Amino acid sequence: MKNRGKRFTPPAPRREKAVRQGYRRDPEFCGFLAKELEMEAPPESFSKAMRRVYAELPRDMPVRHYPFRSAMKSLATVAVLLVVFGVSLLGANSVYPQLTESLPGVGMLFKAMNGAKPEETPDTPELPVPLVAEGKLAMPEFEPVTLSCQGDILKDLTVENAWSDGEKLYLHMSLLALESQLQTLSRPGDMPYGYIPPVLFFLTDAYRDVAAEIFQEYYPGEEFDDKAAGYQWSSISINGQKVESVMETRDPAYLQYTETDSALALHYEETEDRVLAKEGIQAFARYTGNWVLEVPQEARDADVFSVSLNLPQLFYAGVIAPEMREGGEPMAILEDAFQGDFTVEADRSGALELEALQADNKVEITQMSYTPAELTATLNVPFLGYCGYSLLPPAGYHGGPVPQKPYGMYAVVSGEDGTVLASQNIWDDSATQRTAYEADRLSGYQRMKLRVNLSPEKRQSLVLTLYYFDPEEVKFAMDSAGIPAGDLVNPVAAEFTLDLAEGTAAPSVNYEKQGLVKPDAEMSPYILHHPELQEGIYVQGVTEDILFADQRVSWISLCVRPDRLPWVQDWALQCYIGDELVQTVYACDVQDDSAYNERSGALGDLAVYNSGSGLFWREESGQSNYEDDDYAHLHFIVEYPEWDLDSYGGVLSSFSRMDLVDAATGQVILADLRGINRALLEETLCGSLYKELEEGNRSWAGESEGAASDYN
Amino acid sequence: MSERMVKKAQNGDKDAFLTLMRENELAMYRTAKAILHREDDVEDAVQEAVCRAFYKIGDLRQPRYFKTWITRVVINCCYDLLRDQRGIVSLELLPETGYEEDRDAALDVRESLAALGENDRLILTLYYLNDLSVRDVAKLLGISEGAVKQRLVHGRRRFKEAYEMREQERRAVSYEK
Repeated sequence: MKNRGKRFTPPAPRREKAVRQGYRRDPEFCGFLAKELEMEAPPESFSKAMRRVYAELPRDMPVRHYPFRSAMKSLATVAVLLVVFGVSLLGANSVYPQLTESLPGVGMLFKAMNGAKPEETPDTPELPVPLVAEGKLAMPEFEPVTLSCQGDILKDLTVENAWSDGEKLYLHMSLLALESQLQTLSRPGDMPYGYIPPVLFFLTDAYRDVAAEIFQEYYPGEEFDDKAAGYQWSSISINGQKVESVMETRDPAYLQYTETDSALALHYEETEDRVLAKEGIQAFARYTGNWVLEVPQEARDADVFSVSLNLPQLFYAGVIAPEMREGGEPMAILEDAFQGDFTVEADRSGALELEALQADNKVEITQMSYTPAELTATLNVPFLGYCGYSLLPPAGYHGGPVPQKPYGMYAVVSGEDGTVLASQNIWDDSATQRTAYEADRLSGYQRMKLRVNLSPEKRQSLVLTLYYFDPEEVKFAMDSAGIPAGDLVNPVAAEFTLDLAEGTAAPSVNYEKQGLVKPDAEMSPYILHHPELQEGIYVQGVTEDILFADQRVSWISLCVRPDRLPWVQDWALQCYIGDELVQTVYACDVQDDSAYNERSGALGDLAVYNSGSGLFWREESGQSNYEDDDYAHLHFIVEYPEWDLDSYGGVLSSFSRMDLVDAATGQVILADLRGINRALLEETLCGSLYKELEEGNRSWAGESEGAASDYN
Repeated sequence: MSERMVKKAQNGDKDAFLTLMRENELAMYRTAKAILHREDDVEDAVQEAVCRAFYKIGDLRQPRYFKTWITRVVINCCYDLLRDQRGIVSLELLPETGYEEDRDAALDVRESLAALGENDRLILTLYYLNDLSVRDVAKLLGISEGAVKQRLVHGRRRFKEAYEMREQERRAVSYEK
């Protein structure tokens, strides 16, 4: 399991080829569509109508939304809502008494309630003195530095911003690349939908071992020679000392490149230029990245850092495509070099250790420190189970010590206006030690150590929110590139507002403005349940349609209790379309490595067998961390028949039913694996609350008035 | 469109708001056209959307969602207009399954487009012409991403078939001549 992520997922981008081809955005089709729908350009009458409405708009725009206006609206719906939102109201009253007191109908109640308190809010409330006014929020100015390149594909590499606290150097970089040229190096059809691969620099030859490993996958038996391959590693020095360690934000889809702390990635940024490119106009795509470099020990006392970048080559990872195995390199090398120097002032102000830490909903902060570019914290949070507890395969496809990782929460750091500044990567963090967990299922608590990189900026406040895992993300982790994005449905475990002027952290309720709920930890339905096994089998995962080794397949993973293993070799997976049995994959006797059992080679050295209409393999290392049983994992990969594919290679009809049967007797062991999987997922991950939230999330789209707030 | 521009508009900068509107005029037009067809109605709906956006932009907490948000505002205005015109309009925009495929019918492009459901046209427009992601389209319309993808593939295929048919007819006509 340890290396599974590398072997199974390197070509994360391989997925979705056919589907994407089925609806890819190519200029020809877009142009054709616009023409046929008569939408190429609006008529002159429309333009006139627009000019008219612009002229008729009032001169003054309404000012920015007041954060609690929506709360006010809700609260104005008098007593019925009081019952429902009573707790919220009381919470809001304690923080914003003026607001609740001003409410029609119920305002008097709150005035009476607040009257008993000492007068804390005189007519002219004392506002906190903005730190900007005191100059405490000022950052040393950095003049962007652009390194030019005369290559065919790359243009400018710009150090947009640089800041250092003396120990780390934070660089915000941007790169312009001629998108159309770059795309010729990749196969967009191999990318997960919407995923555009990063451009990479390899900072040190620490990457060499990883490169060698990848090379071996493509050229088994051949010796890797980085010099012969023409690889040149980049280097960065600070005050003449070579930078050895990089801690940039990683992309889990490319863990294999970045796990050695040696790669610097620049990620594609959505801009309107893309539209231009789509319509046939040559446009430069913008790639950006936040690089965090460790200042070498010898240079740390300096007040000014002289930074020297020497980037002789860039690597474009998007070319890991099947045809590249036939003689090309696993990655495209761009010989467009960049070289340049700049200086950065060390700014050691703004760091603080927060005190007066409070608990919220069974989440306790035991330590928290802040610099303008980093928030670190140690928290005690309720122990909800280990990931392996559920027998689900959450991050298993990304590698890492998954079964041992405590299940439960992930953290998001945002500004008080709700802007997300950093989101913890639930898949990657444990593997990279950004977030460490020490769980103790007996005590009912787990310790969570967070380290969050922030864009360097001095702030007055921050909001740290802990969310429960979103089961959708667990199930469809590959689709999200590992970043939990479902913040509309994820319930809140706890929230703290950090007052960086005062150096304190206290519970807060900003999440309510986003329509989120915070289930009481005492009654949390999010405690992970160990599922009931059927026939000693847990249907761990059913992926209906995925691109695997250039085939459209269904991927079914089963977790099997040890006492059932002796019978596994008799099992088969039968797949139906309608009532017709169309494909069967047989489980093999993995001890029998004879000619009868033909190895596939589809997954390198792993013992994967061609068996019937697809592939089968078995892994023995599926630790569940549940009662120390060592479960085995069975994987069936079932190809869709040719006749079920459309001209774009997409699947016409997914398998309507998949049954696990005893191949010898024909007896059905488990019927409808997909149905079982869905039921187990719901049962395992959460209770009814999740469903309610999900329903709520779906229903918003139909609300005409809710357009604005629902995105918030 | 920059997030900075959205923030400026939210802070009362009317010029920034107008810039945003002008940048999104074509996208708004296309969205409305996909639903309403009649140019007069399209104008009315987009004008109403601009007015609503003017007063509501402050409610948008995450500027990066501006494009999706304004699309939603336009869609809402279109359906409000239809509701007024028809008395009632179903908000069940997109049944997840069950569209017809009449491959044998001799449709030309226009007929093929007409045969495409209103919702398919909207999805094609949002994705191909307005450059929204599958995820955003799914959220906007309250359907699954899978359903969006399915409809994109279906709609595209429909177009392709119609286009090829027309090309064949054109070739046949020129051959006869």
